[in-house]
Amino acid sequence: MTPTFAVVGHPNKGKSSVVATLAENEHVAIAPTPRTTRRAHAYTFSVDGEVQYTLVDTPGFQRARAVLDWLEARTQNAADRPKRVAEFVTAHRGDERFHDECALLKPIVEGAGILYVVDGSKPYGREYDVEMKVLQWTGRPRMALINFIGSADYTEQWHRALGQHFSIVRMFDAVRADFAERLALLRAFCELNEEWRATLTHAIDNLQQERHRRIVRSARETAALLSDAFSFVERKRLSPGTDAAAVQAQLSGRLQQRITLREREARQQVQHLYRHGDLQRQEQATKILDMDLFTHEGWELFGLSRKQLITSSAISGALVGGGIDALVGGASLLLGAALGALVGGSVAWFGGDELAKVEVLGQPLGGRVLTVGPVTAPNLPWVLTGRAWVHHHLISEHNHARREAITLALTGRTHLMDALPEKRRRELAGLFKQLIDGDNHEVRERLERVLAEIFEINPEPIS
Amino acid sequence: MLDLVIDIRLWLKEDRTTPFEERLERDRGIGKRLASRSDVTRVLEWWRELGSAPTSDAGRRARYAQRLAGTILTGAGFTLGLGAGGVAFAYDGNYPVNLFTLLGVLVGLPLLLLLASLLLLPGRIPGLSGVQGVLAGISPGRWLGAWLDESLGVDFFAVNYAPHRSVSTFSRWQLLTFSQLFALGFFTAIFLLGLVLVTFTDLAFGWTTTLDLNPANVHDVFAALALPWRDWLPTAVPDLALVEMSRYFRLDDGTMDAALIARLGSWWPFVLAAVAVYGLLPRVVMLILCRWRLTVATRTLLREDSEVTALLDRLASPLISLEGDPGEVTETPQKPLAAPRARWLTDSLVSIVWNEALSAQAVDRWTERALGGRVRVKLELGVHLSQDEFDKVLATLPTGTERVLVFTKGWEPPLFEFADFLERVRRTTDARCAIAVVPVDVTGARIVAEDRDVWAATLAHLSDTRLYVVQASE
Repeated sequence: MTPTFAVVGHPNKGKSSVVATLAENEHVAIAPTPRTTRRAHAYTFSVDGEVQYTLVDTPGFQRARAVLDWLEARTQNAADRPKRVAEFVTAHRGDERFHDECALLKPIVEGAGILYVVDGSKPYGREYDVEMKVLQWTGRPRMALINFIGSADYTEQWHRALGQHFSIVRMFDAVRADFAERLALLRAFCELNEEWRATLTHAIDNLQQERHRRIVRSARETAALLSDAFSFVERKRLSPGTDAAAVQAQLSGRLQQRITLREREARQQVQHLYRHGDLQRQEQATKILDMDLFTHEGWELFGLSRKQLITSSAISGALVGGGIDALVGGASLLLGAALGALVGGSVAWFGGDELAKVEVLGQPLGGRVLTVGPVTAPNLPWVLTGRAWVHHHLISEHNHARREAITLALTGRTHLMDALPEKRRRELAGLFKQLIDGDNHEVRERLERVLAEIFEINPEPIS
Repeated sequence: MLDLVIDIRLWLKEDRTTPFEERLERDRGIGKRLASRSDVTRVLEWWRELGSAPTSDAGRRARYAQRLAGTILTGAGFTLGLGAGGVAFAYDGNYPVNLFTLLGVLVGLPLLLLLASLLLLPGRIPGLSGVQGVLAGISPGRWLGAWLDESLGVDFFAVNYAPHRSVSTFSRWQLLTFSQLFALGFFTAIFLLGLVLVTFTDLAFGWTTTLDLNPANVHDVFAALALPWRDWLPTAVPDLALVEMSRYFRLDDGTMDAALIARLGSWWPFVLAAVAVYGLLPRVVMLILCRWRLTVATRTLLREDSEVTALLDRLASPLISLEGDPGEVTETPQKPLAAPRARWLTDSLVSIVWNEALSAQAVDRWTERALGGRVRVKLELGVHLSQDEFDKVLATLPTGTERVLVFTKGWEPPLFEFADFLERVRRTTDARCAIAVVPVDVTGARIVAEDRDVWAATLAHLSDTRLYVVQASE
C-alpha cells in the first residue's frame, strides 16, 4: 500500500489548511466555520501517474466520547482495540449520528497513518484526550501537528499532552509554512512507518526536483519577458504632412503598453507554475507589484541606482572592449576595454531617461516609416528583473492554505537590484547588454541560469 | 519546414492561455511515447501526435510565398540574363565580341557580387556592418523579402531589426538563397543564350586594348582562367597563336581571310566554360550551401523559440501531480438565535460549565458582574467524564429548574456532542426552562462576534425556542 495519511482532529483546527499546503491545492475548502469538511477527501501525490503518497482530509470529531464509550463497552483487552475500531466503522456505516467519525476513521482502519492536528494558539483541554484515545485505539502510526491559527502560544501545554499519545509531535504553521518546512514535515512522515521510508524519500526527491524545475521555468519566463521587451518595435508609416512628434508619442505609449501586458502575462504564467492561478484578483490588491511599470517610483524601488547603473554599464562596456583587446592580442594596450567602459558608462549617464530608440527609416519599396523601439533605457531590464524577482518570491512562498491577499512590505527600500551580490549584478549587466544588442539562444540560456540563481535568494525584507 | 515552424510557433504562443497543469499533462503524455532524441525531431513528432490544426494559415502562406518568391527571382534573373547576354554577345559583323568586356560583364562583375554575398555569410562582422548593410540593401532578395514580410505580416524575410539571432540568421540565409536563385537564373540564361548563339549564328571573339600588353601575358591570363577545365576539356583552352591572332584594332580595316575568321569563333568553348565555371557553378554551389544553411536556420528558428524550449522541458519532465477531490460547499448558517429578553435572577439559576470552560470562581465573578449575584447550583460537565460520571452529575440538576446558564469554550466550535448534552439538559428540565449558552474566551471574557455568530447559527439547528446564545458580558 502506498503511504496514506489521514489528517484528523477536532473541527476547525486547520486540518484542511495542512492538506491544502501539502497538496498545493488552493481549492481545498477552508473556512472558520465548523463542518466545512463533511466527508473525506483524498489528495494523491503522483509522479508520471505513479502514486507516491496520499493525504486524506477528514471531517473533525463530533462525538468522540460516544465513540470511546462504544469501544470501551466492547473491548476486553488491548489487543482487540484496532479490531473494535474497525467494527465501529462497519457497524455505523450509514448512521448519520456517527457520519463524521466513520468518515475520519475509515481511511485509518484501511491502513492510513494518522496526522492529528491541534491549534497551538488555543489552550489544551481534557476533551482532546478522548479523541487521542480513540486514535490510539486504532493502533496506526501517528504524528501530532501543532498548527497555529491565532497568535497566542500554548505549545508547552500541548507538547506535554500530545507526548503521551503520539511518538512524534511537530510544530507546523499550515498557513505560513514555506517549502523547506513542508519538506521537513514530509521527512518526519518517514519516521512513522519504516516501510514507507523509501517511497516517501523518493517523493521528497521528486518534490525537490519539481521545485527546482519551477524556479528554472520561472526564470525562463522572465528571460523570455526580457527578450521580448527588448525586441518590441512599434512602426507607423508616415504620410506626408503627418505630425511626427505626435506619432512618436503614440508609438511610445503603445510600446509601454505592450511591455506592461507582456509582463502581466509572464506573471500569470509564473503563478500557474506554482498552482496559484487564482491569485490574480489578490495580486491587484498588492500595491507594490501593482505599481505601473513605467513610474519613476517603481524604477526607484526595483531598479538600479544611477551609480550602480553607470558602474554596471561601464563594466559590461569594458567586457566588450576587452574582447577586442583580446582579438588583437593586447596590442591595443587595453584601449578597447577603456573605451568600452567609457562608452557604456556614458550611455547609462546620458541615455538613462530615454526609453527607446526612435528612427525614421526609408523603405526599400518607398515611403518613410517611424519606428519607436527597441527599448534602450538601461534601467528597464533591471526594473523588470527586480519586479519579477519579488513576484516570484511572493508566489513561490505563498502558501496554498492562505486565503487572504498577499502583502508586501518593502519599507524604506530603494533600488532593490543594488542589493544583488556584485558577481550576479556584473553577470546580469553583461547579459542585458548582449540581449539589447540582439538576443540569441545562448544568451537567453545563460540569463535563465543567472535568474534562476537570483530567484533562489530572498529579496528581503519582504513579509 | 517553414510552414511547420510558423504553425508550431504560433500554436504554442496561443497555447500559453491553457493552464500550465493541462499543458504539462498533455505534453508529458506525448513525450513519454516519443522515441527521437533530437530536439527538433521531437517537436515535429509531438506536433504530429498532437494532431492539432494550425491556429492560422500563416505557415501555409509563408511556404507558398517562399516558393513563389524563389520562382519569381529565378525568372527575373533568367530574363535579366537574357538581356545582359544579348548585349554582351552582340556581334554586328564588324568587330568580334570583345572577350575582355564579355568576361568582365558576365564573369568578373558577378564574381564581385558573389564576393559581396560571401561577405554576408558570417553574419554581422564588427567594422563591416555598414558595408554589409549596403550590400543587403541592394540585394534583390532583400527587396522581395520586404514585400513578403509586408504582405504576410511577418518579420522573417527582410527584418529591419532582428532582435532574435535565430530570426536574423534565418532571414540572412533566406536572403542569400533568394539571391542565388536570381543569379542562377541569370547565368543559366547566359549559358543557354551562348549555346543558342553559337549554334545558330557565327560569333567571332577577339580582344583589344589600348594598353601595351604582350599577347603572351594575355595568354597566361586566359590559360590561368582555363585551369579548372584544362585537363578534361582541352579544346576550351586557348593557345598562344589564337590569342595572338585574336587581337584586333578598330582602326584596322577589318579585312581577314575566312580561315582566320573561323578561327576567331573557336573561342566559344572557352567563353561558355568560363560562364559555367565562374558564373554558374559557384552559384550552384552557393545555392546548395544556402539551402542547407537555410534548412538548419529554419530548424534553429524552431529549436530556439522560447516556447519550444518550454515545450521540450514539458516533454521530458516527469508529471508531478497533486490531485484531489473538488472542494465542498459550506452550508449557509441559519439565522442566529436571539438573546433572552428578561433579566435573569441568580436564585432561580443553575450554571453548568461545559468542558472546563471556566473555574467555579470565574463563574461567580461572571454572574456577580452580569446578574448581580451568585448562582446557587453550579455543575461541571464535559466529555472527559465517563458516561456514569456524566449521568451522576446531571442527576443533581434540581427538578423544576427554570433557567440554565451553560458556559462553554467559545474558541472551540460547537460539536454534536455539545448538542447532545443540551438535549440531555432539555430532557432533564421542563420544556419551559430557558437555556442560555455563554461562549467565553480563554480569559472568561466575551468572544469575538464571528465566533458568537458561529455558535448561534449552529445551535439554531436544534430548533429549541427556549435556547439562547448570549455574549459573556450581556
